[in-house]
Amino acid sequence: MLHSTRRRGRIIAAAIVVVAGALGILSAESASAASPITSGTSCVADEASGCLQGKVIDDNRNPVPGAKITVTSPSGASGSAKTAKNGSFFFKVSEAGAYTVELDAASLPEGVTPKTSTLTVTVELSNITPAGFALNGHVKGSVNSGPAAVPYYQLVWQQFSQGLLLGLLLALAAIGLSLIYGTTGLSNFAHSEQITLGGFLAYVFAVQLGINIIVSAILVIALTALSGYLQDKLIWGPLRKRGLGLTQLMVVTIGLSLALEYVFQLLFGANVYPVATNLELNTGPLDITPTAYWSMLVSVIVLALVGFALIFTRLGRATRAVADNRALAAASGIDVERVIRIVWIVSTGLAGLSGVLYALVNGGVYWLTGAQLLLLVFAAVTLGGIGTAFGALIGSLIIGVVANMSTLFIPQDLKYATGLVILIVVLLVRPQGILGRKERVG
Amino acid sequence: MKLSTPRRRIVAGLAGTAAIALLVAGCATTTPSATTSSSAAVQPAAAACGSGEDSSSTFALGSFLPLTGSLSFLAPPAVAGVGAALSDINAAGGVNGKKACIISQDSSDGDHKATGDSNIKALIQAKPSAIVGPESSSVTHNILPVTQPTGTVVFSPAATDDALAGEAHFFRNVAPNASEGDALAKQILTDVPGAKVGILVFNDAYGINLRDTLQSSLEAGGGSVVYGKAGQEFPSTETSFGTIVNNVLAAQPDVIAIIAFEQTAQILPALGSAGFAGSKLYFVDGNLSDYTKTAGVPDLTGAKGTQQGVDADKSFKAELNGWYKANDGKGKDLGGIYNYGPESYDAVITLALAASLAGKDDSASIEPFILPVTGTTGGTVCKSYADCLKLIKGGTKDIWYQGPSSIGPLNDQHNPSTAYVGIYEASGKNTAAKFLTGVKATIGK
Repeated sequence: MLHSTRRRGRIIAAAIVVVAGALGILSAESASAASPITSGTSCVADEASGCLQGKVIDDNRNPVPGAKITVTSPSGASGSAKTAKNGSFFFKVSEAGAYTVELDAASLPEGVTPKTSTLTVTVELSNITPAGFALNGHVKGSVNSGPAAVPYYQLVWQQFSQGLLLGLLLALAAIGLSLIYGTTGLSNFAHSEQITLGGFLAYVFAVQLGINIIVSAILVIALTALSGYLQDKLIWGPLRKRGLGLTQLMVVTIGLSLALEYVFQLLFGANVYPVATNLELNTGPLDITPTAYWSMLVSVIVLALVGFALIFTRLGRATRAVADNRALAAASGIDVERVIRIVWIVSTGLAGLSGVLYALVNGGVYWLTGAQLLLLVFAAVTLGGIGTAFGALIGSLIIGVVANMSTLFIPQDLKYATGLVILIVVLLVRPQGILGRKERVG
Repeated sequence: MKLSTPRRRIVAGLAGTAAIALLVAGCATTTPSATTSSSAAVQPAAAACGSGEDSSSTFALGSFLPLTGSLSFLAPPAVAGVGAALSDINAAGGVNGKKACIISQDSSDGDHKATGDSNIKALIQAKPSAIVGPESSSVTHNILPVTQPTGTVVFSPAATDDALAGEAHFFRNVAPNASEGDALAKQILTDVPGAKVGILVFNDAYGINLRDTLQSSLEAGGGSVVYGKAGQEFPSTETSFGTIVNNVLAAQPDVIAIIAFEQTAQILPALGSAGFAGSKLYFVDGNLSDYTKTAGVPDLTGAKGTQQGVDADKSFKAELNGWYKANDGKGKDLGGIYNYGPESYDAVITLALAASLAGKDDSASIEPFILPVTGTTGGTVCKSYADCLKLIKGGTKDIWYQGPSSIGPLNDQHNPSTAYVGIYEASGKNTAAKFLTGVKATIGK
């Protein structure tokens, strides 16, 4: 079967040569017909031949067409051709060994000069051998289309803005985690799967069902909030009533987290599922996509709403009372179970929103998206002060910015570790976290 | 079993969350699969090995493929290759007069070592004749310490880490990374002489090994690596690529090579948003696929990539597709991904022929015959299990099986002596749209 592929390839290559020759595209000036060297616009190597190929480019990496290339085989056979419009040349040769490849400087257009005009390369059969020329100078009208030079300060700023973006997305999840901890004392390891669930639901609504992304986001928040309600009603509430210790509860959350991860994988496989559909260019002062700006704005507004609701509304005050002293809150007539249930609903809804935005900004969601963020969210919450909403926001921003800016100095691989190092340092100095109050610890 | 109240509640709670997840899935899995007509009658799949069916009496093939994890998108073609091979074997009368059976376990990926570690133990306990898999080099490194003391043959269709050469009881019919990194470097230098290359590589045995060979071949050919050198890998669990893209572009590469698995679907939109031209990207292996349905991917026309293994011919692809659709795919076909399908098929056939020559089904008996079957000592060429078996039954001991993977005989390092690396060019968002040339790599010892 390979044989047939090769034969097909050879026929195609031959056809291309014939057609190209007829159209006069190829200025092949190959020697005699017996020459084992043929030039063309492409080359397929096989058992009996190798490809000697390359490009002639100027110092802007743009192609230089019409440059004359001559190759000479070890046995003295030679062939020559002019580079095509895209600057490339291909020689199909049937002899292995050392070839010389010569660039005719006289054939070059004005503005470019060869760095070297002769190359010696070793050709193997059934293989390709590159032998191109990068010239000095550039042809008139050639502009550099490669990535522009990035001054260091600009890179620093770019990484800072990436950090800000990551921080704000983390904060949405972190506030929920912090509120749950504040009101119930539970470290919810399954919070990360609420993020993943949010992302997957957004994929289903926005991409599969084609619903407008804003409507989708609202539906996702509603559904993830519902999952929080169900969880508290069916799992956490009853377990609290049974007086289960926090350690046992935490183990349940870890188990739930793993179970949900594998449920996601069972349902979706390991693929990345996109939520956005169009390619957007980075723009504006932060050098991020328009969607990323919107996501940041949504995040800031929602965080502000939650923060002010905690301070100024009845429910918010009740929540803080429960967080401060549950027994006292209950004694003063606050329905603690109701408050906790609402905290679960809000927290999971926020995590769902976080998942939507994270998937929108980062090109998609897969079964472990939340799991990757879990430690960062925990670090953010602990850093900011467990149980405080604004602390979670500040902690998230610090973790996001430090992690992303650390890549300026240390390997990419370690960037999330830096967030955790900061965590340890801050906790050594200020055990209650940045905004946490002293009496809560110990 | 009667559940106490809280336990029942937990179950109900889990069920509630699962219900939401199922709602998600209900929508997710309704995507209609492309229909490809398979006219040829598909052989039924080999049965799973029953109790008592092990290598002492039956050709019990252990299948250890990444059914879950970040590599699971590459499982279907390998599952189809293994399955189609066993079907062909059983259609030709089985091995040593008895139908072959399969014991399948999930290898998962290198990030889920616990899954692979416990599954390989379960697989070994079932006493397979030999194991086909894993696909990941990292997982292979993890499991060899478990399989080697038992003498069980492990035959990988896809583990390409150079360092696996010469491992005891380990065979592979895929070219090690060195050959692919070299082919990719030559293609890059063809397109941009003296290229400055940025490499986005994830931190994994496979990724680092391939990066190293790509880097050394580039540097030998006058190119250079401006980003992605040792210490500039990204974590294999990364989900946010903005900072990584900023860093690679700040190095001003002429072209960017992406050495990653699933992460590629998130890298491409990030590169596109930053304005890097899709035509200047290079892909390898598993990420050389069709991104038409992936959101936010820039036009990739002109991008190129390499893939180990031969571009299998249409009839073999159709056989794999038909088998997968009728069996494990439950109506879904392979979706145009055939990576390591031919290699998986040939691994099974090679092992079964070795068992036929040995006249026994256990690893210790099979192992000495593996190299001869691949043609290491020459012999009469045969191209299918049925034909080779006829030769064996007719008394020919020196057979040389040449299957769809088109590799050369295995060498004494248990690597193929020659293997093909295909070079492809992208059109639109399909990176494997056009086959440019196959490069036959000779693998040193």
